[in-house]
Amino acid sequence: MTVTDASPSDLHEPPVSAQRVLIVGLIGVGLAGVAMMLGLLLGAPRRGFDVHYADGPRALLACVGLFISGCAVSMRPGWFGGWLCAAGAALLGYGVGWPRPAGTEWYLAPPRDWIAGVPNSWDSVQIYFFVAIFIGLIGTAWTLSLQYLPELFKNVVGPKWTHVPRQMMFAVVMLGMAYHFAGILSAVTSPPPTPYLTDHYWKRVARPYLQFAYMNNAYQFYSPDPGPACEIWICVEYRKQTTSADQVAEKECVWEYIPKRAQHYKDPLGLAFYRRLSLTENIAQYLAPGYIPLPAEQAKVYARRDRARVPESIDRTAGADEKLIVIPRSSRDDLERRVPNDLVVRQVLPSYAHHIAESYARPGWDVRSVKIYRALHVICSMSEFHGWDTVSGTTKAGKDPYNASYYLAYFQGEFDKNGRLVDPTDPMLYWLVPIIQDKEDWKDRDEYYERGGFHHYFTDYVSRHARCNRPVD
Amino acid sequence: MNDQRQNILGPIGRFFFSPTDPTTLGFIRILTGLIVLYTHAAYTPDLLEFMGPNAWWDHHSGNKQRREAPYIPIPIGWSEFTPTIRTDDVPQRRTAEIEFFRSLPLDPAQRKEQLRYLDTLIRATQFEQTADLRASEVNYQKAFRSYNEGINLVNSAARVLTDEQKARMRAALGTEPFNESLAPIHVPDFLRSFSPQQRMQVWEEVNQFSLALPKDADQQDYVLEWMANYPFQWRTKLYQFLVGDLRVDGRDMSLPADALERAEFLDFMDTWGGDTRQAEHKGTAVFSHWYHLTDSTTIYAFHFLFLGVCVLFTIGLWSRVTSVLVWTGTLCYIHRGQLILFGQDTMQTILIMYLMIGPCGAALSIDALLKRYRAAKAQLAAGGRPIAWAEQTLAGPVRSWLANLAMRLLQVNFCLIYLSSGVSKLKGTTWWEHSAAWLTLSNPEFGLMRYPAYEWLMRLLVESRLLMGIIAGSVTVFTLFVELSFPLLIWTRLRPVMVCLSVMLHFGIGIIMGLTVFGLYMFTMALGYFPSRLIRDRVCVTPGSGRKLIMRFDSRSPKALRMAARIKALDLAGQVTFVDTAGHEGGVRLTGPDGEARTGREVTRTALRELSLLRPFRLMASVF
Repeated sequence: MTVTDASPSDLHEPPVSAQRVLIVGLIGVGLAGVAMMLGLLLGAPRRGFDVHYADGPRALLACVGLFISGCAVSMRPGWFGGWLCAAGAALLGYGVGWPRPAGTEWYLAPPRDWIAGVPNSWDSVQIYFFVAIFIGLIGTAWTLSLQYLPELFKNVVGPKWTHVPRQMMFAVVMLGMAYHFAGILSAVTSPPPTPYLTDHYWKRVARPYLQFAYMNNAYQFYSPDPGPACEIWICVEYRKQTTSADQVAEKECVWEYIPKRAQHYKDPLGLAFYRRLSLTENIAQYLAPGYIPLPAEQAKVYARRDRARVPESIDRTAGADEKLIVIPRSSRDDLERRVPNDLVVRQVLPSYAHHIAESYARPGWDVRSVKIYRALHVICSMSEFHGWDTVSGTTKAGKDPYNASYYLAYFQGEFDKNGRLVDPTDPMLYWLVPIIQDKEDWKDRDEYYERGGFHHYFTDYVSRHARCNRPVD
Repeated sequence: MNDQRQNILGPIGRFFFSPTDPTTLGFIRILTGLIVLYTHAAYTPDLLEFMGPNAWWDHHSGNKQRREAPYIPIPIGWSEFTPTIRTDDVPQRRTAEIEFFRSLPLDPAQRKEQLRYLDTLIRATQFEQTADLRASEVNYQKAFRSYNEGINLVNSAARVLTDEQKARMRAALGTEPFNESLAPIHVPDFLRSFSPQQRMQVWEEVNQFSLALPKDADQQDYVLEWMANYPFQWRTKLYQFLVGDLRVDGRDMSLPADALERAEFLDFMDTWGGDTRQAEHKGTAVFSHWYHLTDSTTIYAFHFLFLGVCVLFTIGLWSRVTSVLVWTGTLCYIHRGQLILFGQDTMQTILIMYLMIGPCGAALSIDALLKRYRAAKAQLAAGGRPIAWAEQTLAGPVRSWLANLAMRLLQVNFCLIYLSSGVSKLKGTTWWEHSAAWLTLSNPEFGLMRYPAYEWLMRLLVESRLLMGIIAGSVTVFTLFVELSFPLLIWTRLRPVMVCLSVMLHFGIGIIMGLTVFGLYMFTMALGYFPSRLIRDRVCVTPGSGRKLIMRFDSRSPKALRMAARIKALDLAGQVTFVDTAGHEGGVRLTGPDGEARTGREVTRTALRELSLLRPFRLMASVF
């Protein structure tokens, strides 16, 4: 196989006839138009995001329309007709409407009619069609320019200048590249502390493009320092449905750990596992550094924490008095309480809780609550792993990286089955619920299990706090 | 279009637009297609958990975030963004404040009546900034204290005082001069300077104001604490906002007086903590059909349809269309699954985007074979008359400036990734003190620590602090060296070395951190630095290889012509000599290396057995 240089147009395969391209393109436009007409005829909502029974088929029809007109482009990319059809199909899919009435610009759903092939409830897909309009128009302008500008230059400026339009087109491509890479650079430099120029460029110029094309990654992997990973521990509490109000409802609880390698390493390369690790990372976003809470609130938070109690034993016999004990505080202030940021508190955690409540629904039982703990799995230091004791200056048994005390479990809240935080003033909310090692380290895992395993070595306040025994070991 | 020697854009123009062989791009397409196929097939068991209506990031939260997430305007000059209203971040406090707003009358006149005390208090506790800064500070402290006392008075009126005490309070306020000993609570300084009538009037305002507060004791506390701690200089604006007098650039920015507007305003404030009217832009420019599909059968149907598209893209069939579909489809998964993404999704997007821009189906694809078939058919039908485009097509992939552009974009982006990753590591202390390597090697969730053999090895290594120090230092320095030097040295003669080092780095990450798919994407991106010739030599069919065949066909018979064109299209090694019998012999005859002429199905079988391109499919010959 050898490679040859293509140059004059006779070296290119004869293109598909314009008529055929036009027919295909117009079929696409027609389908998008049909989707729009269906919306009008079937009385689909023209305002807001309310769902209509014909939304799915209409969206599909519009998408197929755009796809077919896209096929027309691919049949003969150098002819403007295909691009124009694609722009037309996209326009019909995206829709048309009147401007927002004055004073209502800030409304989430402005009070104006919007008629489109893609239903208004599928508004995210409308965004795609909006972008497709521009691509179609740019393609049209591009092909028209390449077709007519050389001739124009030849006639107006001179025969020597026919190559200039092509160079101009390259210059336009370079401008596009500059925009693209400047956007990527703004994303790269956007993590705090954000430079002034980056901030403006990202927010004012590049944001929609970077978000749309998912090019807004800062590429700062394991930076500035590699950190520990997290797990999510979830305790779902059920209450048996009862027929009479007098009947005492039976209760049960289950724990779920996210991610659990044995359960979630579903595919050979473990994508399902790593995706779940990302889920845990997304709730490990705290309030901005330097955030100072309201002094009154801070005082109340500490007062509530001091009043926090858990049962001494979960497995008490029915009717016996419950003895409550204090949850010990950590000696490290910086580790004691970690408040997630607003997005996590108000949206991510409720969504997780709602998902768990839905996924763990059992017939005959109601999900009463979902308690979520974010367990930071601290990485043991090299000296701990070796067993070097800095206090005594001796070498002991090296620490087990999976030692339970390396899990710092932060209570993220108790949620109802709809994902609503039951008590925002819970005494332990966002506080560390400790797992305390009471006995000396074990030499090896055999010794660990021989002596009784977790319950011999540790006091687990997480189980007590959740009032449900957590599976360990 | 392709000649860049004389271009006005100079060396940059030549760098980006000189035509190049698209073979590397085609090879990258195959590998990317396979990884994308795997990545998305891996979604299958978890599809509803990640993309469904009740996914971890459910439709409600996802759609809300996508439609509403506000972007606050940032002034270009020295001025700063000033929110019309500030609420607390703590959920229960913001809830109380929003409930307070909600409970205020719609009619601004009624609101004014109810909140008159706030106006009186703010007016009475103003302070003047003077040239004497010290005096100003003293004035400020005094005013601030007085304002807080005024807020506490409301608390007393609402919750502390009994009816009898309130009566005593009225009596005390009516004394002239003011007699504090009669008052059951502390009376703020500003009130003492008023006349008895004014004091009585203010006391009535206090009682009126206390009625506007939430009935729940905690909520009432939250609202009063919020008012007491409200930035002192913005108190007047707060009052104006509450009573409907706040105008910014002629626009009404007060608490909406319309019930529906207020509901939307407060709902937004509850979620995002700001004034929806001040958002420069709302929502994110993301799209995904997964935000709208609720039925599990439809969800799976779309999923498998997309997997089918990935297969077409990988084999390079209709690649101009399928590349766009794969780019769109992968973005749909990414935009919907915002909480389950990691580095590999970024690399995947970069690869697919550049493949979509370039002619990724121009080589190593079914598209290329189909084009060869059309060219062969045209050439064979021409009966010896030269057809330029057909000859060129059959000679191999056509150089293209778009192929070069796509490769250059990929190369530059790869350098940016390394540069950013390397430079950002320099901010971290663990990279400087070399403990970053340990944190990576011993990470219990990502790493290999769960394997007893690995743990044993690590324990053996840490026996010697020096040895471990050397290992950790080497790993750290190697990582930093590769990431920081790659963007510079890759453009030099050291390119093969740098590519090898990059492959080693990602191989290590793949093994140690388990991020195999991420590593595979990075390997694929690194292929962008491979010359096409190398890939053609290693992957493609070598011209002149294989045993020689002779095909006799009748160009007047359409069926024979099609068959001959098929063989010619597949004959990348130039094994077959085509002889047009032009009606002297009918049909198609393929003479094999053994000299035996074959017809009918034997032709296909022989082609499958002999043609170099079809070697991998040789087994199929027995099926035919």
